Amino acid sequence: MRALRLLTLLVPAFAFAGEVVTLPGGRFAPLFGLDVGQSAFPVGTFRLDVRPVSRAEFAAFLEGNPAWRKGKAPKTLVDERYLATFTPAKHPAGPVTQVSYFAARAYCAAKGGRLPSTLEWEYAAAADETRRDASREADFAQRILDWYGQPNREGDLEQPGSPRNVYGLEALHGLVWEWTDDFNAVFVSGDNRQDGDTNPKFMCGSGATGSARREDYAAFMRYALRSSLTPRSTLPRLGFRCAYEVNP
Amino acid sequence: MRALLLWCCLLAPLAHAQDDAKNVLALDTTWRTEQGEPLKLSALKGRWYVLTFVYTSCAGTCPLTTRKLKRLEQVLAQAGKPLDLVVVSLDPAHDTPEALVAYRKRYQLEEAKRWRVLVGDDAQVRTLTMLLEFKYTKNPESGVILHDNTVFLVGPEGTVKTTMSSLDQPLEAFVAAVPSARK
Repeated sequence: MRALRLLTLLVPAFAFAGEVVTLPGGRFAPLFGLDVGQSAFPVGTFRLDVRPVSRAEFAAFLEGNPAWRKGKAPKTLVDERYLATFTPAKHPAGPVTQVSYFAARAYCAAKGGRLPSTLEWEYAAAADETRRDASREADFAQRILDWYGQPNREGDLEQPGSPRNVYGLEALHGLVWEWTDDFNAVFVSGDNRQDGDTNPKFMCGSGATGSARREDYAAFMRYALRSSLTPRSTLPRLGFRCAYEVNP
Repeated sequence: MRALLLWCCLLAPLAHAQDDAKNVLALDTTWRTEQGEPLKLSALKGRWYVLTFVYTSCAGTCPLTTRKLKRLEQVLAQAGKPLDLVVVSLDPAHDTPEALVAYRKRYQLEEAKRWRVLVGDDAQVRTLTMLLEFKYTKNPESGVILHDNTVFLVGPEGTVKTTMSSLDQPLEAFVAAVPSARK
């Protein structure tokens, strides 16, 4: 903990402030959730951190919120791996990981923000460097899948930053998975022979082909990852960034 | 996808067992009662109670849930195990005091003293439902809320003792999980 306090003293004040951009509202078709007859959902204007919350930023948060330190956080709100390998002094600019949903939410609330909704996150992450919605573009989808297809490499998390997308956001893909406020709120069934439900929409391949954008397999993988989490979960490659209202 | 199937097929059924990790007392938030009075769930510490979520304009499964809760209340009373029932609104923006009065009237709950309908804000509802792993999502255009139909039995220390579906599960196991001698 001494190292953490020392780091907090050394990290410039702006490190906790973070860089934020405003995303204009629009309409977006998420992979799941649209009703019959709906082609897209409205997304309001919101603000989002440019990059995932860093270890240094989270260390500063822990300094002011000791109840969230490793060993202090309630076991109802974090699992046993919470901050297990948290070493902010080693790679302070890298994204903090092994943080539960509840801890991520507490951090964002302390900054006057919140976690982005899944719709907002997917809306932001559909953009590439030049297009607001590149999610159906084969080249963009392949770049994301290339990252998903690679095994984790030690050292990746030391190198934050990536080309900014059209909104000015970095590293929505290629660095870590990210929490969303309603990460588990998608009603995707498993193989419904086990579920006792005869809706063919969810049967085997229909679970994928029945989605709004079945060519966006990368999004399908993100929904699958989110559905495997509980709010207490912590993973070595799971971080978060915060969203903010335009007029709080 | 493998993780999704693992969760759906292997891990989800475990949620029916007693789950000490789900302790509502970890959240020290204040709800609003139908009378507009503040209430913290910590005020129910030391008591057994039933907890679930509905919204009053719900035309889908909520009416079935409410009827099931009425039946549950009767069965618990007949078994000598009367309990309070706490219903939390999933739609705070629209579940006004007037809407809650109409809800009670619609289901003949005007005299149901053991029922408490609580309203918070969206963040509160999301936090509590996350803690209990009760899923819901609101269609931003139609306002329709898709949601789970889980009913929770909360023990005196705030942990979930058992659950049941409000749709297709019989009451017996849920009622049996309530001890006869209790506060």
